[in-house]
Amino acid sequence: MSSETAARLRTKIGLYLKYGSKAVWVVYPDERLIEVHWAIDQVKILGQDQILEGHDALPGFSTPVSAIFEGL
Amino acid sequence: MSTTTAPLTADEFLKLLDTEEQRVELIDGEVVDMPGAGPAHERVKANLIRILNRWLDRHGAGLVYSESAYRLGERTVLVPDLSVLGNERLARRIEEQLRGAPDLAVEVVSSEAADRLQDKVRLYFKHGSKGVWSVFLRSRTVQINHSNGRIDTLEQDQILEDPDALPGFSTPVAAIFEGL
Repeated sequence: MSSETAARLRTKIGLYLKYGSKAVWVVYPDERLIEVHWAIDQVKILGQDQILEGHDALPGFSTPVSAIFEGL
Repeated sequence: MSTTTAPLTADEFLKLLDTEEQRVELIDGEVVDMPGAGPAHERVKANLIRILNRWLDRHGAGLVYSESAYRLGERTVLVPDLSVLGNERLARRIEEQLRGAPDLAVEVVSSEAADRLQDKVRLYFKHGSKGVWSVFLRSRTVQINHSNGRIDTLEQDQILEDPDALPGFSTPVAAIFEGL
């Protein structure tokens, strides 16, 4: 996600969750942040020193957030 | 965007691309729609991403990019379905990595006009690609294009190799069409 408008993005997140996605990850390369949405009212923001986990979407999966931004 | 008629520069086009969700390329200043990508197209891409990443990881040989916009010249921007950048290219500043053609470009073809595809193959090689693969969904074949103009057409029971682009790499063609 780099230039999408916030409103359109919110709509998309809502639709993914409504139609069955178990999680939506929004990656902000400029800010080096990842937002994990599990439900309309459940969101967590992760920074570079944190671990992204798969939870229900990818049970057992985990990666350092910093690995996602490697090379930037 | 299909109503755009005035020729665009690559810089103008890349700015446009940033605000659009349509799949488009720029060839000699003309904005060209990319054919829609159905589920079979996406599955073949997913298969290839896995196959290429497995090999690239094992050899520390580079990264697979997906639908990245390469600025080939002042008036040409191509967006291969998949592309591979080798380590030399990845050592450049991030802002410079998508300038010029990728080391390997892969186009998954369902309906693209043959003449347009050949134009793109020619452009990739002209701007420095070492290999261009065209994957044909309907016939389940893969064309390995070479910089000297030679084309190898491979069937499902054959092995794909491209020593110019990925020395040492090989995969059964059938693995590319797995799941279809």
